[in-house]
Amino acid sequence: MRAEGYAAPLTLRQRLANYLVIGAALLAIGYGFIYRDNILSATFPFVNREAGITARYPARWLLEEGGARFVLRAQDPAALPFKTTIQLQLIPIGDGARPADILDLLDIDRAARLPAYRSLSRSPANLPGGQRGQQMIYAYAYIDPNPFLQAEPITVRALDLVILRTGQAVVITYEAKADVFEAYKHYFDAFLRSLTF
Amino acid sequence: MTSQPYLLTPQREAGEGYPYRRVWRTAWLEALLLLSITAALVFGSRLFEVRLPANLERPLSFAYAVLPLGLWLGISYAAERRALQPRRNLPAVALLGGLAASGVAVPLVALFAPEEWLSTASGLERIVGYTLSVGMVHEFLKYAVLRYSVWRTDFNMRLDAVAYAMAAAIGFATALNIHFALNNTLNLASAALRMTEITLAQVAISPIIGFALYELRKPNVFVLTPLLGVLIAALFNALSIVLRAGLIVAGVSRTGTGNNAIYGLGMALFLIVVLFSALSFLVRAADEREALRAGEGR
Repeated sequence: MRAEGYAAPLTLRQRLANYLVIGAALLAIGYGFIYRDNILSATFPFVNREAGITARYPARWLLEEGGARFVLRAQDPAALPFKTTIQLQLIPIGDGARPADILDLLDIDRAARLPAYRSLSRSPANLPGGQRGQQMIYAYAYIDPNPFLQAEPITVRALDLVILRTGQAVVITYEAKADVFEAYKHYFDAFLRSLTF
Repeated sequence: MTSQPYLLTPQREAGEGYPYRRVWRTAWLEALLLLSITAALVFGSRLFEVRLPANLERPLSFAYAVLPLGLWLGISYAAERRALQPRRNLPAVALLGGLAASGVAVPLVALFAPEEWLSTASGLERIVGYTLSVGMVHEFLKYAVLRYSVWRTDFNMRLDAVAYAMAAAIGFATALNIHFALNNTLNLASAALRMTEITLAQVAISPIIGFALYELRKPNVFVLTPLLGVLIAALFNALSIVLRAGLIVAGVSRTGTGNNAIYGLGMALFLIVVLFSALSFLVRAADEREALRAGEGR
């Protein structure tokens, strides 16, 4: 069947059908952004009754618990070549210890372990819950341990936040490739907002 | 002297030939040619272990990006020009499709960055996510290009709608291919595989939009028909991405764990075979039904 052109004015049904497509497409694309944010900001709960710590970590990240050096470590498996990491560790402290002392300890430890380690800045910091602490920003070169990959060293930027509680220092660390440090920091901020101890 | 018998050739009645280009035939031919060239390139480069200089890979990838457009111009558009009643605005629609892709689809999909949040999501989340982001953006743009350019003037029969939808898809795919070639440093065979998948998926899905838009020409159209067409097209677009990703992942073995990118071509081939067959059947059935109705009305 072939008809020549279409000069007649559109009927109400035709107009409605066309507007429905436009409206539904705009709604779907708008909801796509909401859906994206829901997936990106989805979290899973972390509970460690022994240490008295609860928090929520990004749902897409891999969780590791109870390592020798940490209580919790969550890593983004999609962040390549360096996995963005949030880590929480507990360090026993004596009476009179200050957050700055813990940062000094971490500074010495990391200078010996991490290549090209540099402490960049220190400043007082408050947790969303009101606890006071101190934070340190530092950088180092990450070298992939697999020699067959022949990868270049990666500049990693990291942040340590130290909060003291009775007999323990809580050290919360955020590490990311230097160029995405700020872009992914909202994961760390959300983690801090959910953290209770 | 012998005289030759004088034979009169019976006068043939000038039969009314088919005055339009046969859309499905040229579309099949283009798809098969593109598939064959890509398969030859991939298997040839694997068999003979051809390694091109790095400075040649990108220009050749760029050339491959416009190959589908070249095939379309050489086969479909050339056949169209030879037809008694050619569809004149096909190149303009292809150009509009390309502009919509590079001007709107590429920046908008970059804003979505679906590979960042859907690569580790569950299967259902990936299908929904890709439908709402990439699928809807691509298919709505093709709908808009056709609806606001040639829908009133050039959609005189269903096959016109299919031909124009394919032209929009070719322009769209060419822009996506050029963007892919400019932003990726792959070897030629891998780039060719990916660009063939992009092109075949776009072209295979496009007749759905054409079919839905032709239905919109009916004054008493069911109001949800065009919307369903766009939604189904967006869903197929999403499925082509999700299933391709599933297909190319190779099994873990002692010899290697690399991707089988060639399987991605299987997804595009599947879409072409299934959608071209289904849509050509639907178009023919709908045309015959309308012709019967028109005959009964007389």
